[in-house]
Amino acid sequence: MTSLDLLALLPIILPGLGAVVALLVGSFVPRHGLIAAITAGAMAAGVLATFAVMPLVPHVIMGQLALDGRALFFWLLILGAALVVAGLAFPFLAQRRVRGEAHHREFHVLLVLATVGAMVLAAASHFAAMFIGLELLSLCLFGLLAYEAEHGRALEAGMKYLVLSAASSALLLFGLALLYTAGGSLSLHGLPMDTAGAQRPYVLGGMALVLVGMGFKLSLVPFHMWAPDVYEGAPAPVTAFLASVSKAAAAAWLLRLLETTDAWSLTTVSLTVAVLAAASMLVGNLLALAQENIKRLLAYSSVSHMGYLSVPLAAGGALAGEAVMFYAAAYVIMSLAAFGVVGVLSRDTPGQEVVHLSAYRGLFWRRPLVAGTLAVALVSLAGIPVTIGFVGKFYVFAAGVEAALWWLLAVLVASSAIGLYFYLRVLAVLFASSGAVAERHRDGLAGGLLAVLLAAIVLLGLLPGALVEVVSAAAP
Amino acid sequence: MTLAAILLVLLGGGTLAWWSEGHGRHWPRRVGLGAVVVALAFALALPGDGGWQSELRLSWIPRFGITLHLAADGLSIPLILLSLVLGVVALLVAWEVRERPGFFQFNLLWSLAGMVGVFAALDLFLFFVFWEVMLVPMYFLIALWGHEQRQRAGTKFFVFTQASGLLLLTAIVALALAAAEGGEAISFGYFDLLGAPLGAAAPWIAAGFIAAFLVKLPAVPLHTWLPDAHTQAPTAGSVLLAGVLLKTGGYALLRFVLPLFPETTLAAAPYFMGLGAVGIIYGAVLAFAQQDVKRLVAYTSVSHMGFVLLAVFAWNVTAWQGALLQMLAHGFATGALFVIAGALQERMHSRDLRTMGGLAAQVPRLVAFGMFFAVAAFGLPGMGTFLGEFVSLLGAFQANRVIAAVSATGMVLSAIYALALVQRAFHGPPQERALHDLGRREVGVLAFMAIGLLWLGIAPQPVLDLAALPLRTLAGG
Repeated sequence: MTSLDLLALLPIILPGLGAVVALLVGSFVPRHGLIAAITAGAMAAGVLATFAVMPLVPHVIMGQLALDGRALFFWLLILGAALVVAGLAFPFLAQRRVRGEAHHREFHVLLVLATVGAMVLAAASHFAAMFIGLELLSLCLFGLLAYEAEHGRALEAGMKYLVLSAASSALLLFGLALLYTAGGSLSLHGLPMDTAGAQRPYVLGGMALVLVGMGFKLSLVPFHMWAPDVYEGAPAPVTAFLASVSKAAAAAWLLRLLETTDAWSLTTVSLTVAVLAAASMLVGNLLALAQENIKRLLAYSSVSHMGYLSVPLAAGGALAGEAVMFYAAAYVIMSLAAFGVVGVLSRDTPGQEVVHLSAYRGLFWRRPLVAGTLAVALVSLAGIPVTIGFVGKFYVFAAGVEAALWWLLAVLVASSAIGLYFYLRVLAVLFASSGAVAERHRDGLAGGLLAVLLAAIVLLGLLPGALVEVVSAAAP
Repeated sequence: MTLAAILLVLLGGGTLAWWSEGHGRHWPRRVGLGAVVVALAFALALPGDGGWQSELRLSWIPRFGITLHLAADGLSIPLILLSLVLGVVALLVAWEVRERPGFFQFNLLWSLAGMVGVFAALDLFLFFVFWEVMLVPMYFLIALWGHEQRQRAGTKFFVFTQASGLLLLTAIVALALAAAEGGEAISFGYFDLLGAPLGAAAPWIAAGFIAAFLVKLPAVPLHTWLPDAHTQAPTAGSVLLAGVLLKTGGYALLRFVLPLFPETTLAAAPYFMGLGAVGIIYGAVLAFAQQDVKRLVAYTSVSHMGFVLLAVFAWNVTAWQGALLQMLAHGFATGALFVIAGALQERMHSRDLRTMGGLAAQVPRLVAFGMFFAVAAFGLPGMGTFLGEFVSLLGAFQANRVIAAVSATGMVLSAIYALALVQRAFHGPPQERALHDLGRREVGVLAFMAIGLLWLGIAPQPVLDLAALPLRTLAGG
């Protein structure tokens, strides 16, 4: 390990250090604000460090992590999203006591560590780093999901995620072992995708199992069963983290795997991804139709969006990488906004979140900022212009058209139309006339973050040029 | 710059109207009306010799060669003027909206801005953005201020247009990528894509475009969203839907489909002309069978827009002139019929023809205008609608005699449903009820529309002169 490697690792080291400091300080001065400030400061330092290491690109850190434009993009995305989650979680937790304690030390430490895991996963060019990142992310997520274990279904959410995640990790490991057997290397760069010879069953079997494992993380159909229960049971800020950070990191790694190993040259692999994408789009949107619980609805919507995201992953080609990056960024912002709203609304009701649709009736006339953010997020999720979600969908279309995946695009069009039904339904509920007048709420930090997310959705939809330049410049 | 100013005035005016609600519930409508009138004043300065006016071109997403490219020519200027005039009409008929007036005006003006944008966009990506921008506020107008089944009708409207819109987006992307295949830089610009060699992909790409525009026009069998949306929308929404929104489909066929895919459309022309004829007759027959006044008027739209489809695919300048006149005249005639239907609903709290009858004695002014526009709907000579249908048929006859002859029966059928409407709603024994006649505002609006319709019928030459250059270019290219 050279000092250059160490320097390049700073964006990961600094948040990790923050976790250690927060644990130590928290043991002596158990105050919520202090611990949250330390962890948030560490992540902000990580953001600065990411900008600082940009001149080092491209660089491979000890054969484990690839420091390229793509990795830096996802690091910034992950850190930014984690900071927003921390900002949403702080006022949310301030109104709650967990196991009789109000300092929530473990929450913030777990949040930073999960973020570090996601960053490692997003940059991993070696199976060892990938597995460490994935497991760090998953292990911290169990703790976060079940954080309010005394309340409602949080424990169920944590347990469900634990069991299914462990099972999928086992399958993933087996897949990695098969790929190792075929290629004799644990590095992505050493993997031959030569399927002509005797290696064929190992390569295809390995890829299939890896896709199952990543399909679970991305909640692609048919590995999506856990998503609605876990999304519903977890505290809203954690749901936001799960939907944004962990999905973005998994998508980043899957993109890296497919691209580095040129798995797109295998028709079986691209076809499998395409089938997963088609099933996710259709099933996600269809199952969302019947939901009355906004978190479950958004969970199924998340399933369908991971399907959209997988269209470029199936397509390959020049635009695929850009499309995945842009869509991941778009989805992170949209889902943070949507779940952030649930969190803000549920702040003052410990033990019971405001999730039933009936509670959202006429919300726009009572709380314009909060409901307006949700409305814009829904319009964006539905892929309607002047929002970032539309530009993302445009990218997905472009990648699909470039690869001439017409049948998959047909499924995309049909499932988007189905999806409109429930997005419109929630929109109509939000704007329904209830005769209510505007209430005054002090949303403070969380309200400010919602306003930022709202502005990001609209501005990046109106003027996507800069972000498009960034993702196209980050192509390897 | 004028076009950009119109769009900014509408978008800004809508936002300002919403904000002004806090200062009293009369402010939104004043602000809204002011904005549309200012936009109309700008638009009156647009007409030139029919060539491209007021061009504005700014880089937007350089990665894909997407530009903010606005310009209007003799084909789009009449439609922009129609949009803004009907915008004023819609605002005036919705003068008394009580519920959330600020948000209402916001949606009205933003929808209007989307429509103007559709007529002015010369970048296909930008066109698509405006295409969608006009839909979302329209959805809110239907779903929030509509009648008893507003939610269902709004959703149906939106899902139909959005699903076809995504087909359009796929086709637009496919077109841009196919045109860039020869190693040229990718572009969504209209002029860059004109004449791009598409090879075997052309029919498929054209199909995506045509499907989206036929939904909007609408052509049978893609019309099923229309009766629901038009019936359930509030009066102002119906006026804009029937008056302007349908025209975006006809306009887009002329502006994009014909010049971008000349061989494909020429080869498929008889089929689409046939579809137009089917629409003409089907719409007229169904209109006759309706009991709901607004539904009846909605089906007449299906019939009238069939003439537009027929004329567009007849592929000659005469027919296209007819299509343009038909679109403008239909905007006035049907818009006015929806104003009358709205006035009836407001007074009788019913749209059912069976509960009407004998209105002539009670609301003479309303009935007089009702007669006038019903007669206009079946194309009495001297009205713009007659000219539109006649010239369309004249052009279609040159292209395909059989289909033109079949379509001409639509003019007979339209007389039947229009007279049946007059007979059932206005005549008959008077019934016991207290109704107040049209007020001054309503009379002014309807008189203005009547004059517009007569003007189009008697002296259409300015419009035809304006459109001459672009239509000749279309025929030549």
